[in-house]
Amino acid sequence: MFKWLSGKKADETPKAHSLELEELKEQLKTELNVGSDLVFRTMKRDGDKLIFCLMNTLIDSTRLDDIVIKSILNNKDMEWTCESIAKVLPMISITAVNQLSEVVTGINEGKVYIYAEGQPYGILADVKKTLERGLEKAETESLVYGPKIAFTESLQANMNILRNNIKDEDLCAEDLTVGKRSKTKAKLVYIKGIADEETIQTFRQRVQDLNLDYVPGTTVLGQYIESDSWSVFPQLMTTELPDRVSIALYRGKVAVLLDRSPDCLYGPTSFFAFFESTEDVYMRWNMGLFLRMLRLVATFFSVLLTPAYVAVLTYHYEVIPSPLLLSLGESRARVPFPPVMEALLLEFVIELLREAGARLPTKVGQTMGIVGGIVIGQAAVEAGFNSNILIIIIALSALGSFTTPSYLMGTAIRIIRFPIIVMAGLWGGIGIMLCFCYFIIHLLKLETVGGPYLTPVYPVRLKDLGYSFFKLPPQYLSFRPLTNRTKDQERFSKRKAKQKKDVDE
Amino acid sequence: MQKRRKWLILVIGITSFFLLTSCGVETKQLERLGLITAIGFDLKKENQIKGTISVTKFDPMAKVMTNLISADANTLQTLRAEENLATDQRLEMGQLRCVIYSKELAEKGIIQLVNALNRDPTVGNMVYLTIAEKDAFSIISMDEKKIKVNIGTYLYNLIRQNVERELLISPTLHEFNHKFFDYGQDPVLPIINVKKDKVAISGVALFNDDKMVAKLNNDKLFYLKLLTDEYRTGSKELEFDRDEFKNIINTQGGRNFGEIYNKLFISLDTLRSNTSIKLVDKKNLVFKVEVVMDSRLLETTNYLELSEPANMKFIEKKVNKEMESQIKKLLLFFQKQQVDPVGIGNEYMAHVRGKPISQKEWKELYKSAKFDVQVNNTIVRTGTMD
Amino acid sequence: MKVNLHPKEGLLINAFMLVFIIHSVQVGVGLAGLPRVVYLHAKHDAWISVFLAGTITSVVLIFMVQMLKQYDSADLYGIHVDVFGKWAGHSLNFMYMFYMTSTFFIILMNYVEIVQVWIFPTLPTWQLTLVLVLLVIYAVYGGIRVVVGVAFFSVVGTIWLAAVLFVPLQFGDFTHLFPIMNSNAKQLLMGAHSTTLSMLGFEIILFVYPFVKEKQKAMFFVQIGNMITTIMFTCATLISIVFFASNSLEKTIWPVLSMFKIVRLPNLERFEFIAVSFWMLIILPNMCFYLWAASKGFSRILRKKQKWGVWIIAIVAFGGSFFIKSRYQMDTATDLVAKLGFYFAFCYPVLLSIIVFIKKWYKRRESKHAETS
Repeated sequence: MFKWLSGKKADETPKAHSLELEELKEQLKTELNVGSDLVFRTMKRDGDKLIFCLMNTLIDSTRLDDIVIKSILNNKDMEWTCESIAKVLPMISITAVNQLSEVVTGINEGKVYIYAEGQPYGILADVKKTLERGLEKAETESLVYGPKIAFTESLQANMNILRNNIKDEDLCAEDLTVGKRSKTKAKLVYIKGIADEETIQTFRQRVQDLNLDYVPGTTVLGQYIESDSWSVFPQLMTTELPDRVSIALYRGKVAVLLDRSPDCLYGPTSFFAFFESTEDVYMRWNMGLFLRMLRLVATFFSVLLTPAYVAVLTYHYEVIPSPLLLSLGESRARVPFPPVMEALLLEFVIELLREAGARLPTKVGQTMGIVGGIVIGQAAVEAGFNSNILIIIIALSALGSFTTPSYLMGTAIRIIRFPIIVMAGLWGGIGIMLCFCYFIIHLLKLETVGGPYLTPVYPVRLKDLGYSFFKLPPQYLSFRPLTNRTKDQERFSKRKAKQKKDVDE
Repeated sequence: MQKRRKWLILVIGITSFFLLTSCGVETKQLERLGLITAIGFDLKKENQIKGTISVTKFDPMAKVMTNLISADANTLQTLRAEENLATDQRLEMGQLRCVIYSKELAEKGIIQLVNALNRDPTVGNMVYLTIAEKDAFSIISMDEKKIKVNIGTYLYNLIRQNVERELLISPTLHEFNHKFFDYGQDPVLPIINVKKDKVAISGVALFNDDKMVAKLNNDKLFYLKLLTDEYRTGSKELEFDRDEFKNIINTQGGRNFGEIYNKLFISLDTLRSNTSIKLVDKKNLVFKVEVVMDSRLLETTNYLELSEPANMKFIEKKVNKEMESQIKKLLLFFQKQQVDPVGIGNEYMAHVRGKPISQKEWKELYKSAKFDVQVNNTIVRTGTMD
Repeated sequence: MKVNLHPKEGLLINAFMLVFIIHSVQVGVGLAGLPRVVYLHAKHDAWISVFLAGTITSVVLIFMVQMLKQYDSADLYGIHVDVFGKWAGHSLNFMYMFYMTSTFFIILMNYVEIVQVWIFPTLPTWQLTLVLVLLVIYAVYGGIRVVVGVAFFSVVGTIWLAAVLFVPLQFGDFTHLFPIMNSNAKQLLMGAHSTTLSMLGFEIILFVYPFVKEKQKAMFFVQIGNMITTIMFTCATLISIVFFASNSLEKTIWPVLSMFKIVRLPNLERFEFIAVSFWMLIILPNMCFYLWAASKGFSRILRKKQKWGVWIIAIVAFGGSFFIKSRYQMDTATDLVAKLGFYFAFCYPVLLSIIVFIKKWYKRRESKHAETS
């Protein structure tokens, strides 16, 4: 993992492009090997020659025609020099360049290069056209409450949404480039005065030191800058909800936005942060608390229920109370496999259903779920492949794992169930406990952007429990989470919030 | 990188090794077991006991089945081995709910058989121990169709239900052990009887050490429980001479009520009691037994005038006296039989410093113990009528 | 070798964590059999013995922490070298390492035995030993931060078991407790002595101390940790005395586990299976700390990597597991370690601290002397 971080940067010797138009054309053609995409338009007047070099797949031709060409043609008596052309162009982003590499990069980014022969340098004018979809509702993190707007693939649009959310002059957005070849633009976003300087530095350093050719998206970026890439647990959060990012930023976190990626990466995020949904924030605190507890309990049972079934039925028949004994025994009597095989088989079927449902279009996917769930489940019990009690247990634990708001964490939880089931099949309760101990140690070892992964439970930050583990009434959350080591600790005056009125006052 | 990969190889190696050797743990899959829910012990002849077990097993074709297996042996282990030969599924004791010893066996001593249960970690501590009025076999071999469930569960529910209703002293294995191993207390176990295809509790067996010496009938059970335990929702019917209550019988202006009995019965319920036994005189071994009770008067066989506080006091006094005499009688009976289910000995030992006395010494002392009984009953309510 | 140890800023732990460290290392396999071993000596006053032992431990802890305070940030390895010089100090260090390795081994073997008796009679010893040792190695590889975390989660994850212990009280007979103070002083002290194996673990402070952030608060939190342990042990002993008849308590090997047999939940008939499984989480920090502290010796004395030490000790312990086969051998070994523990954790540190006090006092006087002259 670290070998990308220590890459060397190649320095290039500056090289101006040719002053001859024909030669310039040739130079560009060899540098940008794109065939007919590269278009040249030459204008002649009194022996002066002016050339427009551009990539026709990247530019907005109406803007080029209406703004650039028209304004040059309209000023007939103007001399064709770099300065005069710059004067007549009614545009903001124009730059004067003469390096071949800069020209090539510019054209590649959708700019038009305007060069009058013989001049020492030419002008790059931005006439880029980006194709982007409109704003849509969030797909992976669906919500009942709160804003539904989601990030899109355009960095500019994303920054626009974020800036509209946080009209704070301290909101910083540093430019970063990710990918040695792809040169994808990225933004490091944080609120100055809240976010911890060290965290920002870690983030910046890790992103800058990446020596990769291309990073497909923020989720991949996250994997590259995480500390432990062997773990199943995600250590940085990716989200497509701008309001989630805004809330996180105000809690002192640091976010990275990547161009052409509809997700935002932010951190440091502890284990329990993955069980937070923005809905908890929008709901009244007691409902939020209930839902969050429900989610944690569901996750716990989702991990534990099937292994417990396997352990009890394989080894610890003594713990079954009399009333349950008969129904359990009866349902198991027809099953030809040992409980481990039975559980693994059914878990496998459930995973298949989920995967098939996710790959198919929404409408077919739904039918798939119903057909799979009811028909296969029913048939398996009828055929004596599974006990019906196990069907209930597996369905419950599948439901439990889907309550996790983070899709990555939900998947991680479903995956860790398999080794626990196997261990339960081998050593019963002892096996489950061994796995449990292993995961505790593993989670203790993990870290997120330099911070411990299990905060605020360990190291104990009692005050922070109100943020991530429980949810407290809003007046008690007058401080920012301590774990983020924020510079500005106070969100609002604690004293004012706690002022109480007397009776009949 | 390299180091982590080594780790991974190690972990995978070990896991696969475990899988291959399939880990020497013996599996006990529920559906392949024959679960013993009840065991009955009879004395077959000298040096041999007969064990009968009721086995629940799960058959893929039929519903849950109960089998009955009987074998002769000297120890519980060989008994199980013998019985195992007679079944297609492995017999396991983990779901044992009830153990029955025949009266004949109980009179000879049962601690050997109880200890076998203690040693086995699969047997729970909440197993009920009972004594059969005649032989255990006839109880275990009850026709299942008549009681609807298998006999182990039936007995378990029978006892549990009565313990919860506070009609019986809980006879779990743990409590038997506790009382048996305590020098100053003796265990009691319920006696069950088969009457016309019905299994019912007919009384309580009193033990001296591990030998049954006497039987206490159901009507006396109330006082034993009163002495050893506390009541939360008990009930009791008391019998009185009607003439003593002449003054408070309400005649309602000379109306003539029919009289079924020539005695007066008073029934008390929602009885809350608290008993303390104190050693008041170490030298002469005088124990003061003090019972404090709250109760509700719910039923009287004659129409009593209850609105007068004086009348209530009168009834209370009568009840106290009746109970006192009954308790005293019971304690003397225990003393005569040399059994101590109340735990008088524990009370004695708690007050004697120095070297603890042995069981034998205590039994000698017990003979000369005297009791001073005092019952203090308050009738708190009289139902919805005065 | 440097006497003082100055760990990196990020490795330091809050003094508050000492509560969890001391408590979790003390509570272990010893607790399962504690009431019985004390009862054998002190009869129904066993709980007084346990309380007495807790108080003695607390006094020993005062000596230990005071001794550590004489130094800037030293552990026992450093103090030994400082006090006795290189050779004698190192040989004492090796002896201490040996002691901790054997404690590690005994804890491991005792737990395996509990599992074999209560749940899996046919489970081969080496399999569970191997897996547990690997688990502990994995934790120790994470360093002090993870080991302390394990201690924390062990306490948080199992403290509810202590609450479950109160269920057996309703079956108890309180007359067993009387007459109070019937045993004589000798019996009580014998009882207190027999708690050694359960009380052990507090000596870990001698190795953890350099990693504590606020060193002046260490004493307070160490005492709190020991106090919680003492209260818990006393309660467990008290409940066992009330719950069991005297004869059966003398014969029950693990009274605390046996008491769990009585607990019954609506969906769980037998609780002891859960308790025995959870016992693993209770002993995990014990093993982690002993392995960590013993292997620390490798980096402190031999200047080898601590990782080597971890593997060497683990392999020794795993190899040792093949030599113990019966309950009888197990008992002998456990008694031996308890005896070792009595000298190494109770007597020796007190002695050492007195030597340190005298030495420091002497030095101070000398330096004062030098200043004035």
